[in-house]
Amino acid sequence: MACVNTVLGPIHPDELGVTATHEHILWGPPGWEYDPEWWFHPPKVFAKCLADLVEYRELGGTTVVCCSGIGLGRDVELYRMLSRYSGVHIIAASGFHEGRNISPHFQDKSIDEMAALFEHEVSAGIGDSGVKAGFIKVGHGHYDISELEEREHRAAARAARRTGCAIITHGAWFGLQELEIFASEGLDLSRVVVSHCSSANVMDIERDKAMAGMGAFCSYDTFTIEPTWNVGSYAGDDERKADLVKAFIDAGHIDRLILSSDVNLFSLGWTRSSPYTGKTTMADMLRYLPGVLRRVGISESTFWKVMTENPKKVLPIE
Amino acid sequence: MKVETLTGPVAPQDLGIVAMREHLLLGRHGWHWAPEVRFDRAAAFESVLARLEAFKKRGGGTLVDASGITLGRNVPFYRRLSELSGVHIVASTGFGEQSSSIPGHFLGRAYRVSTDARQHWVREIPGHFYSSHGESKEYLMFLFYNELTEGMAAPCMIRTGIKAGIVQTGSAWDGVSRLEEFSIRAAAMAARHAGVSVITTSAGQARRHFELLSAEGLEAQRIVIGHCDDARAVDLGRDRSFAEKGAYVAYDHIGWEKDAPHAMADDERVALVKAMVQAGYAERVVLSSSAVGAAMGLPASSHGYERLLADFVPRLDRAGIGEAVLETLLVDTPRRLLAASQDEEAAEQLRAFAEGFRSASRQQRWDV
Repeated sequence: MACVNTVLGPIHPDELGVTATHEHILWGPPGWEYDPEWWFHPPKVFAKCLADLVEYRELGGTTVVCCSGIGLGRDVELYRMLSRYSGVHIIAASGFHEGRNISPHFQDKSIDEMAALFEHEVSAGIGDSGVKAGFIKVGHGHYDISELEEREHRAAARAARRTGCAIITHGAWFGLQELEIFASEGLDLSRVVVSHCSSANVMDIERDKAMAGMGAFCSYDTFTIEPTWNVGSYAGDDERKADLVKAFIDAGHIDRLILSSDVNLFSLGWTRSSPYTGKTTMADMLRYLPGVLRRVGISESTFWKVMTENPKKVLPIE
Repeated sequence: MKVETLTGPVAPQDLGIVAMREHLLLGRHGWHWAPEVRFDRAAAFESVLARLEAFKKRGGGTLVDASGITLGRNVPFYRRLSELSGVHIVASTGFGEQSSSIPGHFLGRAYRVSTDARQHWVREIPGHFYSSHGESKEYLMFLFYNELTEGMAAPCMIRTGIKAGIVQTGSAWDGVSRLEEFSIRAAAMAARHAGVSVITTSAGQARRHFELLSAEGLEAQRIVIGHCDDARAVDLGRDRSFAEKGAYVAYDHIGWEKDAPHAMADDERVALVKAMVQAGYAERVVLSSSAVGAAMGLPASSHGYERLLADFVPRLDRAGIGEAVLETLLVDTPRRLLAASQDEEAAEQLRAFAEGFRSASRQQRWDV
């Protein structure tokens, strides 16, 4: 029977409900813990994340997928407490991010060693926590897919084939190349979500149509990340992202559409969550994205349907 | 004049025999999440303690843990081991090779920022030179300097009051990356202000390391060029030229010949030491064995810290290196290197600068 691994144990796919598929509870590149400039107060962070998740639930959200992989802020003990007290299902990731953010211990590991690691986390559990990862996250940088990143992608494909779990990539920059790597490992591309298709520096509807045509899901997941507060070149106006979503739906790919907001409830070692650079949560997306989409002709019922039905097609482990 | 150890300041004359580069725990960031690494903390404690006691029993007095910040350093763990074994332990700050010891946090920003946005960022985050993190030598300098003068960071976001006594730095074997250059320059700046020494890794880039350290104003007498006995880069001429400038060379892989492909045999190392002594540079050589107390996901050494005194010193003895020279190699030179010689005026200037730096960054500290 298909199920979804959450931090509190497996649930039935029909329990997923409204799912934000690319979010982060904690996120930060490895190593912040050595840098006292960036230390924080854990009880305050817990309270902040809990309040945000409760608000998300109150606005209709049911499930949050935390895309922070190994060493990137993922803290399943914390997530268990947050899930228990907020009532939101939290799905934790195995896998990594782009190569520069892979912890040094793993950088020289072979494809098979990485695949064994991912498989272990999905089927046996993360460390000694007993919590099973729900999917595998991979990534590449803005400039190329490095040799290390290719190893990571191949390992993820092999582990996904063995476990039946999904892959979520940090990867519109070279989305098609990513899918080629997965396909060459024999992975069914309908198990893949290519994220950040709405990053301002890589919007490309033709690429998205091609990826959807290959069976992959395209994730427009940077809603709320706008240049009014975010200085990254990936930040863009939400209106333009809405246009892109409309074009994607008009091309007949609504069943391959993922919507999310890629926020960090708390950022480790960088500034995304600091008040002076703007602070958004996944609740903000539920609050205002229906309005943004309505202005380009996407009805509110379509929004909720996409948020509910599409994650259910890709996240369950067969 | 004092030496900062894990159990507090120690007078230089009380250090005894010193092993200048060893490791208590050794693992790269991330080992913690690797299921194949089975780390039994209690067993590791036992085994490191046994190695420290063996070192003590052979007459060892002080051991320098030259792993830097990120290779498994655990200050409370080390301190307890020092208290129980009676061996003085000097811990290090700094980074070594980027690929193994500088994790992503210190790599600076990951994405392009427009010119306007960069202005915005600099304005919005006071106290952060440039964009953030590692993309400035000043940022890393403060990281290291605070560990030398306020106390080292320990796991669980704890700033201990226990100070580092030396800065470890280095690069990859075949080149110095942009970030490694920042880290080496920062090591020199922090060491100069705190009055301590720097020890390097990767003899493949030894000359470049020396240039970068000198360029930041660190005196040669404060520079130890490590790994000079790496079989890939043995070069007596280079070692003599470092000694001539007043720097030190470390023959610090004693005992590794069975465990590491590029470690030379101990007898060849004896010949190196002898050549340096005969050239009149006995005062410019330090010795150590880079033994690992307990390793997490990295190859451990089969030998312990006592190898230097139990095996290598007798070899030197047989090779005709006299008692007085041994005293120089093992006691006098390390004592000079480890004794902090803070220039009060420079320290005062830096304190004022640091105070401005910190109060600016506190002004807009987020409260979650």
